Amino acid sequence: MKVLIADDSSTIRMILKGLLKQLQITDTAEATDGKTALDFLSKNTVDLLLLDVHMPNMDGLSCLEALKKSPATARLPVIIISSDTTPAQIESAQSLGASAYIKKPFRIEGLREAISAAFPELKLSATQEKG
Amino acid sequence: MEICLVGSANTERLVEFERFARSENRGVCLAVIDGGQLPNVGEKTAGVVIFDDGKSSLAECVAKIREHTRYLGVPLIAVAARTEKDAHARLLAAGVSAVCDYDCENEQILKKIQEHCNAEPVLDEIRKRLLGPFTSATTITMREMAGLEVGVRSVYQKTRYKMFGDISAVIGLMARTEGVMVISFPDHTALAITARILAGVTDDLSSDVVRDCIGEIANVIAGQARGILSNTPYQFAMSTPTIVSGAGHEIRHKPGMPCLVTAYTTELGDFALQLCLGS
Repeated sequence: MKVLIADDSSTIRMILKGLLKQLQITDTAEATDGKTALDFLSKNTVDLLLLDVHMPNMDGLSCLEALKKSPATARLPVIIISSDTTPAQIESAQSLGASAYIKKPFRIEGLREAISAAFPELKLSATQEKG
Repeated sequence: MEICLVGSANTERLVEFERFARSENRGVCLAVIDGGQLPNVGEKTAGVVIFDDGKSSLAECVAKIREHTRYLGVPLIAVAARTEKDAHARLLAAGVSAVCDYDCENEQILKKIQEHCNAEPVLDEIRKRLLGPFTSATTITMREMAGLEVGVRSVYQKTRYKMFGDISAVIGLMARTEGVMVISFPDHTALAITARILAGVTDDLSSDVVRDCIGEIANVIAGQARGILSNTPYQFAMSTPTIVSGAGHEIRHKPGMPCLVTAYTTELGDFALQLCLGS
């Protein structure tokens, strides 16, 4: 499985990469905003996008909307990972077609549940490293 | 409100001022330099007065107390003899708010405390409805991201106080009026918290990594608080964080808008969250 992590914070990208590694997912790519994520996805294929909301240049919800409008990426599972915990924001993400919404700060269990829900056939087990 | 007196146990000038302060019905607490004891400063402290005993290095002691009282908004007044040129200037550089001559009137010391008082109490209502959500957000964020328990050391409203930090993350808050949230750390605390958050993920603790991590902490705290405050008079939208760094940089608040400060204590050091947000 290949995962694209789109977040303007290098801290979050590093933490997510570490957590994915614990879930035995090591094939990852990174984007620093919504526009870079779209550019990457126009040239590359991934199985899952982990997407932040508040980012410069293009925010996560605009990116999600563009992805869902394009036939090439409409079916790509997108998990939103955001510090924005307002109900309106969560509803917006869901109505735009996000597979799940994880609130920051997050734990590995939340990430595993969200990925398992998007890929029911996938058996994810965490190693014991610190996340 | 108490005045905290710092000096050697038998410093005559300290004993004299203590007697005067008590006669003026001012609460007084004592900290003794000799034993290396730091003053017990909290929300009820009106000011700290440090007395030169002619033996200890007053500037060193001032620097230690300033580190200990960082973000607490208390005036620190030194009572010192002008033994050499620039003695008072050195104390001001070390972090005192004002210097009084050793033979000054006792009233003058009290007046200096009042002049430099830069903290006002926060109304219970504001503390509960506005600061409460930010404190909850800070507690959750630090616990979940860094495995760190935080305690509130002091809550006050800034008046003239300049907030000094080594690294600060600034987030613009768009509400009915434009506001700002600033979280400030001493360098060593920012580094230690970053190391905790990224333990097992990276060994790179360069300044860029620390800056990004502090920005993300601020982002998560503001996001959590935004969720709690949605559909209240304090609801806001937020910007992405901007980082200000440099030892002892100064963050001033917008004139005319109340600026609330919460000073936190943790096992990795203290930090402060400033909030300027109208309803």
